[in-house]
Amino acid sequence: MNLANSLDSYLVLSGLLFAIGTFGFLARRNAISMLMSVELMLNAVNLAIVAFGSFIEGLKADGPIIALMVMAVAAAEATVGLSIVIAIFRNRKTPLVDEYDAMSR
Amino acid sequence: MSWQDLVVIGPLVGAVVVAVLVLLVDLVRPGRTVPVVIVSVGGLAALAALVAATGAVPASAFGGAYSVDALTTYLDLLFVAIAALTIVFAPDYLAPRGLPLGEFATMLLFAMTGAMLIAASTDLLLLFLGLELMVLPGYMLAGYHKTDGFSTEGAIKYFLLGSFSSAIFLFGLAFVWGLTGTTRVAEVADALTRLPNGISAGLGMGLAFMTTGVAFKIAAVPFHYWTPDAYQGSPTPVTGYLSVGPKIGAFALVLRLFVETLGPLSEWWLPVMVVLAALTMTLGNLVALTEDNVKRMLAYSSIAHTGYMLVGLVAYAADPTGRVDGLSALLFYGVAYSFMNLGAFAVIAALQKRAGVTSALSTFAGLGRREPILAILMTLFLLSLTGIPPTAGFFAKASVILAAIEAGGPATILAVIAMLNAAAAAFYYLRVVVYMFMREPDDQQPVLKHGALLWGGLAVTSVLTVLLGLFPSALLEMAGTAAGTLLPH
Amino acid sequence: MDALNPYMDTLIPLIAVLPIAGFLFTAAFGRRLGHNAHLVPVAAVGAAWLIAMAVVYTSFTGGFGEGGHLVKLWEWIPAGNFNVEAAFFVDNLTACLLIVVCTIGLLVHIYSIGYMGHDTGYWRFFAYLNLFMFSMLLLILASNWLVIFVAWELVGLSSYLLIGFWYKKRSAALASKKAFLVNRVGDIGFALGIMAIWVNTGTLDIRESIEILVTHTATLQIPIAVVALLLFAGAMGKSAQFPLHVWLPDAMEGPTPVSALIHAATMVNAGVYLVARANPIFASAPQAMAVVAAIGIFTALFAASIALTQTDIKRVLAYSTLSQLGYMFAALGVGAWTAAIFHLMTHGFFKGLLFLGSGSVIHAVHEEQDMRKMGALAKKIPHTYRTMLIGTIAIAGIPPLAGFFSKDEILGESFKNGFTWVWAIGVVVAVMTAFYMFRLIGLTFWGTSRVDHHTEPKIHESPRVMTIPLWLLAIPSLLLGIVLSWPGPPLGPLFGLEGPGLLASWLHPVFKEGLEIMGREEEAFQIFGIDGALILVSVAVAFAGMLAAWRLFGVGIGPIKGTPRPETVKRLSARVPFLYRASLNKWWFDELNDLVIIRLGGRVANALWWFDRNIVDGIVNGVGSLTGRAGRGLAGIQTGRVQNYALGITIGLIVMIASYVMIVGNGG
Repeated sequence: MNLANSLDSYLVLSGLLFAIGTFGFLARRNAISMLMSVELMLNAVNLAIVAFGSFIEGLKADGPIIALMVMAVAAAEATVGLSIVIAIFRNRKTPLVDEYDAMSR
Repeated sequence: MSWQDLVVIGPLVGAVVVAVLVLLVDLVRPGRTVPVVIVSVGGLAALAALVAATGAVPASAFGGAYSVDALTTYLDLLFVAIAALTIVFAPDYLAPRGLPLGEFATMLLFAMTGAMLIAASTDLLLLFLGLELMVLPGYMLAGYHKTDGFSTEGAIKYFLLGSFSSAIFLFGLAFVWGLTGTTRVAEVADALTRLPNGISAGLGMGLAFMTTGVAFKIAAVPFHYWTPDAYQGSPTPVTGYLSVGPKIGAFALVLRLFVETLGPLSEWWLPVMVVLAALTMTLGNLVALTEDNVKRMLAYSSIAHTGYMLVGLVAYAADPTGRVDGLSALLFYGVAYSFMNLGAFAVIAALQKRAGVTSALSTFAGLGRREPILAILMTLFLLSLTGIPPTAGFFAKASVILAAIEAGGPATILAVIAMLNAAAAAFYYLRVVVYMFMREPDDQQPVLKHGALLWGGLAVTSVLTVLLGLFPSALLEMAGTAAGTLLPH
Repeated sequence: MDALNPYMDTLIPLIAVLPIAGFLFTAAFGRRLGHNAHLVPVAAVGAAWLIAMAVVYTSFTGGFGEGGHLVKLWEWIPAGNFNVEAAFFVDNLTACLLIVVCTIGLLVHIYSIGYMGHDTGYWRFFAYLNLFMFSMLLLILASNWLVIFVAWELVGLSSYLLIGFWYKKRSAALASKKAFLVNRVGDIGFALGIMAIWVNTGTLDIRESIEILVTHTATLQIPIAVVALLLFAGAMGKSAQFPLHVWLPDAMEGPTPVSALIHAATMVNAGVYLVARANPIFASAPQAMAVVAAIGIFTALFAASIALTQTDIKRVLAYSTLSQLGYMFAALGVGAWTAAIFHLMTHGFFKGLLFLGSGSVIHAVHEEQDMRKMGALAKKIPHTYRTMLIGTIAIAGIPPLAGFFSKDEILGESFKNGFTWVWAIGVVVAVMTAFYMFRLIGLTFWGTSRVDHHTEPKIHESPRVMTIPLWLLAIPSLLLGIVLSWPGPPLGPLFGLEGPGLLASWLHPVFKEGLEIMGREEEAFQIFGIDGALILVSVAVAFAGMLAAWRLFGVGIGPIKGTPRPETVKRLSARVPFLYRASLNKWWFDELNDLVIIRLGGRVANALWWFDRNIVDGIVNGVGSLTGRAGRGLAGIQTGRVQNYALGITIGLIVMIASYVMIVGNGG
């Protein structure tokens, strides 16, 4: 079986990438790193989309477009995220999110 | 894109135009409140007329990716009303803190555009884009008071968890696309009914990811963690908006996605929704009982209300005869909840006009004596949230519960849980009433002067809260028609 | 009067609309009106009273026909098969209640002008009173179960607000909480009952649903006895029947006019009204009827036994109210519906009078409620004394005052319907009633003065605005019995007249169906037979109780003078120490609650801190903190840290995947 020619192998790869992203999000304390982990998760999604697009006839045309859209959304998200991180960094002088717990009890 | 398509998406274009106009007005007269209010509220009124006009004729554009039907019109009108009320309530809170209204209104209008896009999407990709367009301005709004530690803290938590859940949702969406071979809602539903031998594991996983993502957006337990912090931290008018706008928007997503697209799989998602609904109602109410901060308490209360609305969804899915009573109850609930919750938050915002006033329970002590009208209005909203007749909240809760009883099966159990929860919830809502009328304040607080805008907005919300309780039939009929469009034709 | 008939569809809703308008006005502007805040509320209730009387007249003269009159306002909920109309309904039963609620409501409003005159919350009080009037009128005018339930909740709410009116008093705040919580228990029963009716019949219209229930008794999804008992659970909460009675004595923490209006004359009757309204349902379920009778007569006995030894004047009256309500339920349970409504009406007036009188006494001795610190007040506050004496004779059941007629009818009917045990207990309660009421009169108005010597010289009669309502209530206490039973038994036959009494003929259409279902025949009244004998027994026991109290506590009327004999009282109570203490301590019911729910649990849980707080705060906070503890435990998840939240979401996701895989694996 040719791994590079099977949809399943791409999907498994995408799943692994997504899991790594999730792990990064859980393990990292720095807001920027967490943002990067989310980007990784979105890229995993993109990989799956592109894989579907190239293997399934009906999605051939849609796949790349959808992937582009997701990238655009990811960029917008990063912009918003960074601006919020800057705002809170000015207030708290730290990028470590586990120190943002003024509202817990 | 044909001329026809442009007419169909007219309301969406209109919404963007209003947002840009507000931005321009703010550019010409920076930092002024009155022009922004006039342009945005006037624009929204015109937009509402446009929505009603285009909604009269069901139509679709872009090859079926975008459709205007009774549901779209119903939800669009609600989103417009929510945006208008939020803008009306905001100046009393923002002005004393030196926060400009112009940018606030612009972001709010973009978020509204996103919600409207969800309501009209009959394509999975558009649904996702609408969702992102709705929540991204929401993150910014949560952190709108950028020099305030609480506001930014709430915002970053909301943002990080929100984008995390968006990624989860998208991952599930990708699998559904891939495995059904299309992104059109109707075609996906069609493909799902023709599955050779049940659904595959991949599709099941996709469902799980999507359910998780959606549960996060509507703040269902156990995916609700962001809610209390984001609500408490945000500037109060934003909290009011967050508790209704994105929530109803996310429920629009639920309707389009779970009912219209995944309807054929309802057997599979029904048990999950039953558990989610039960957990959400119960945990929301139990924790709300212990909260001494009214904004936080209302955050948990809004979680509980998510649970009640989910009961409507379950009632639909569990009904063997396929009646839409549950869905129309859910839609009615959305409207009733929006007005009473916006009203309650508006009262809190009004009290916080004086900078430095917290939303602690003690802020409400003696309000009945100090500002009786504000206290009576707050009582009305709280009674409605409790579900005491004859308010809108009572009828909303009653119709959801009745639909669940009629559906039978697992929905009946949920109906009982919902009733028990409603009884328990009375305690924490009425606690605020007790504070307002039966407690003396610790220190003398001055009577505040409130703007005409605030009074006007409160008049609208309170009158609607009462009217929808007394004359629910007109709205219920609309909700029924709207719900009917979701069924396979 | 007949000229008004075409306008009835406007007038009937106005009865309820006027008080709510008064409430809204006073809530909005009352504070600015200061000492004129009573004007609008009193005017609103006065106008409502006038209209109500016109409606009552039309109803009793047959203007609405046998079936009553329905005023349809609008389709409230037109949701397919769940159809509810907002409508008002008036028949003769409603009319009876309208008389009681509107008249006493109006008089209490007037009385409050004097009683609450110095209170800082003057406008707030009148606003709440008007809210209550609206809710109560809505309750009796409702034409479907949902509206009744709405009103049921609203009277509960206004009662809660009024009990806790002096919220700075800790006991008042606690009492209001207790009332709220206990009523919730009953309300859940009522709500389930309504649900059961709807499941059974598919309609919430009262008359329609009752019709379906009684004609299809055999094929109902939920047995009719269950429906009846659930409705009765609601009635027990609102009308404070054992064991849901605990809130009513505490409710006396509210201002006295409130006790008179809500907790004696109107709201507590809602349960009686509900059962009477649903009489065909109960008639179809004999088991449920027996339960109603048993709980009613037990409450009557239990509460009367407590009233014997209480020293707080308002508490005596509160337990007396419980006891009389027990009588009414006993009457409902034995199928003597007319007698129950009769007693409801007469009791409303004389108990309202007694409460307002006690308020006047309390006012006179400067907010003292302990009868041990009163005495010899008869000469100092003569109007209060005379009117209260009339009320006392009326409640004691001495002819020809009002209470005699209604109580005798209850006892006579129980005996003749074969419930001899109800009759026997009822007779015992009658002795006790006469005894504790004359004890109250003796302790308060006769003997030697035990009033604090600072207060003594300042004792004064209440202003006219308070004594006139007392006299206006004394008139029906004197005459209502004769009027309503005329020309029927028991007086009619003495004068050779025949036929049912006025009230019986009015209420006949309402209770006809229930009587038919039970297959009960109207028996001829025999003044020189069984009925006469029963009357003699009732009168004899009433006199016995009165004379005993007279001797022990010393009451003087005209030439007859009695001397109090405190030593004899002591000796007698020492002879039955257990019973005495039981009565004094209210059969340890509060302590029992305390013990079972709080102390015992506290010991077992090894004095956890939160139980300590419960002992102080009572049952209400007990329930609150139980759930609160659970809530706090759950709130513990909310650590404030994003990583923890994300971990929670991830775990949720994994559980979600696992459940979907399981569901899919099982093939759905």
